[in-house]
Amino acid sequence: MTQITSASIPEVPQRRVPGGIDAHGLSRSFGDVKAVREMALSVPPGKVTALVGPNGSGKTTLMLILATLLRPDTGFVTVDGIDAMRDPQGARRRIGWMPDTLGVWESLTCLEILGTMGRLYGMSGAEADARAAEQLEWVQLTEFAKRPARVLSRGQQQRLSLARATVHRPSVLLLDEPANGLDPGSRLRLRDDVRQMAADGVAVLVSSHVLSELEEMSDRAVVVRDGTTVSASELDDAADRELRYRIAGPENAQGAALTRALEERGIPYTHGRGRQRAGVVVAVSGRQAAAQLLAELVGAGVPIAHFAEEGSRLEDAYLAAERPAAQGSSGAGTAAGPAANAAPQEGETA
Amino acid sequence: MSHVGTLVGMELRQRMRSRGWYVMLAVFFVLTGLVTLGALGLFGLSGAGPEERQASGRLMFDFVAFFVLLLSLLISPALSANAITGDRAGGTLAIVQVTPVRTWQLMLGKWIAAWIPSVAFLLAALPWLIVTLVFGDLPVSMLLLACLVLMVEFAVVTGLGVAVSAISGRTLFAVVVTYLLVALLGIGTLIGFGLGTQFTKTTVKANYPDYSSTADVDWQPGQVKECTGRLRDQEVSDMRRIGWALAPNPFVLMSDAVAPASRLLDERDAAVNSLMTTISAGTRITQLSPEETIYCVDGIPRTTGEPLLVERGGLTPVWPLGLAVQVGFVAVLMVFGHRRLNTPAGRLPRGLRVA
Repeated sequence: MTQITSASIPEVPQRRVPGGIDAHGLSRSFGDVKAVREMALSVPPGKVTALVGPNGSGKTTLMLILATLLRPDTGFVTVDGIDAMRDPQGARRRIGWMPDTLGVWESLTCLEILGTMGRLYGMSGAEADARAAEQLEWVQLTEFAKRPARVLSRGQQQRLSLARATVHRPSVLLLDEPANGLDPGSRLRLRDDVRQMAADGVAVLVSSHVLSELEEMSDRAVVVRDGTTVSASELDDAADRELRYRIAGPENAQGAALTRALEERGIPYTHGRGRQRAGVVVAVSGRQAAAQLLAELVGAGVPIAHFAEEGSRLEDAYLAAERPAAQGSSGAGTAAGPAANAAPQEGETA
Repeated sequence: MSHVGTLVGMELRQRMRSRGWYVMLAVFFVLTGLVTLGALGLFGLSGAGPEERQASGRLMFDFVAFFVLLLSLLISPALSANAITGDRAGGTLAIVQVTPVRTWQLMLGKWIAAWIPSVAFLLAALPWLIVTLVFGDLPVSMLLLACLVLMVEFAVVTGLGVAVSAISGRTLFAVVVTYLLVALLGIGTLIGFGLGTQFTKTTVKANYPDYSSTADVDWQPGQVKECTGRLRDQEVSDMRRIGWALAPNPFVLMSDAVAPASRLLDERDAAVNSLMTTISAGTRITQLSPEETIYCVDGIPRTTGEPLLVERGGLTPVWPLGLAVQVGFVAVLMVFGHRRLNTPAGRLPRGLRVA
């Protein structure tokens, strides 16, 4: 995903130099359970940072700490340079938080909910009402302005929740599992909205355990596991980055021609994850190399029906982060990840 | 403060849109009306004369006011104890907590928002209180005092409810605990007093009264003519050490604050025996030493048999003590609730989630 830079950044308050979120050494236990251990994280402004990790890896606890709802046992959090634990009120003015549980006041109308929230953020009545109408228009809920929130569908409630979380023009936006239970259309809208916020200079942190959901909207990935940060990486589009491509012929029977052609050229291949899927997976260094490989195969008369990037940058980051942890633990790997990265030559034809 | 107003507005809007609340209000109005009309009907059937009307009106007023107080004690926990637990369950609590609203503002907003509907119940009962007031030709000050006490008691009970709601994780638990706290005030004080008298026994020397009989020339009811018999050690409770336990009882508090110390009480008519005066006097008697309440201490007869109702005015009012205890009770729970509710949250009780 390319970085969108807009010349005019509207309505985003001026920030001090270390903008966004900066967190270090965060730990938090619930009784004997250490939900978060020595976690470090930074969420820079103008970018969407994906917080990924399996269920129970401490994502929500981290989100609650960043939202100033939970006090960490150790560590500190700054929001735009403000110590969030010493000055939670100051931090709260800058943070927008959308929880995974979409709490709505069922009997209040959309306009009332947003208007009330604006007032709680210190706006005057007229200002808050104007902002509420503006936000409803942004999330395309204007027709529901005077209707109670209980009539909204899940997707609409989620959009209302986004409008609510951003009613005070926060410079940091925390979204906890925002696409949970959304239909594809709502999911696309959410993606666009989040990209727009980031383009406006907001530091966005999105958590999810569904990688495909995050893939399209994130610039960076922070992977957490067992309550601690295992990696933080830019999801850049570097030209020489190693990519995996799935190549398949029009029919399974003709797969032999493909594998033969690859073997002749000494290109290792695997079947990748998902044995039911046709074709093989090869590793190439960058898109240029991929284009060359495709041209070569087609030139050699190999029938190609499918030639596409396998997995995703986020998936790669996730799996790369998972590998050391999988080696460390004695039990069997939980995800299919290690298997996908096993010996390149399996010698098994589809 | 504007935050508190915003929160109160939001709560009241939601309340106004729930049908159950109007039903409760209507039931309250009808119930109080039935009690009042029933009492008026009984008076009519009794065929009492107009001279007894004032006394009956007084009794009726006390009765209706007590009934309103009883219903308020029953309704207030329901109006307040889900204030915070309900939001917690609905996921809306944390959404407010991430705004710059402070925890005390949140609690105060919830408290006021629970108290205002309570006052609506008072308004529903007001017509019936006025009926008894007019019927008994009673001073308006009594009505105003009764309303004031009811409003204060509403505030105390809803305050307990909101505080418990902040402490508790579950609505059902919060409602039950609030009812138990109300029971502690209403019944626990009586039980505490009753048990307390067992531990405040003291011994006085006294013999036995010989009441005057109707055959005597200067007969007065209940008057002790002379003390007879040997002086013996008698075990009595020194009420001064336990009488305070009654003060926080809402009914005692109301009686003590509302019952007028007017001439009405000096006259030996039925009005003296009205509910509130009796309860108030009965509570204030505990300020007397056993020597003053036993008839024949050291063989000396007390002059009148039943002087205490008349003397009520001379004893210290107990309602300020009761109110102080209630306010202190609410304050302690509020502080505890604030600690539990405050964010960023430190230690959390097992099973409680901030969001």
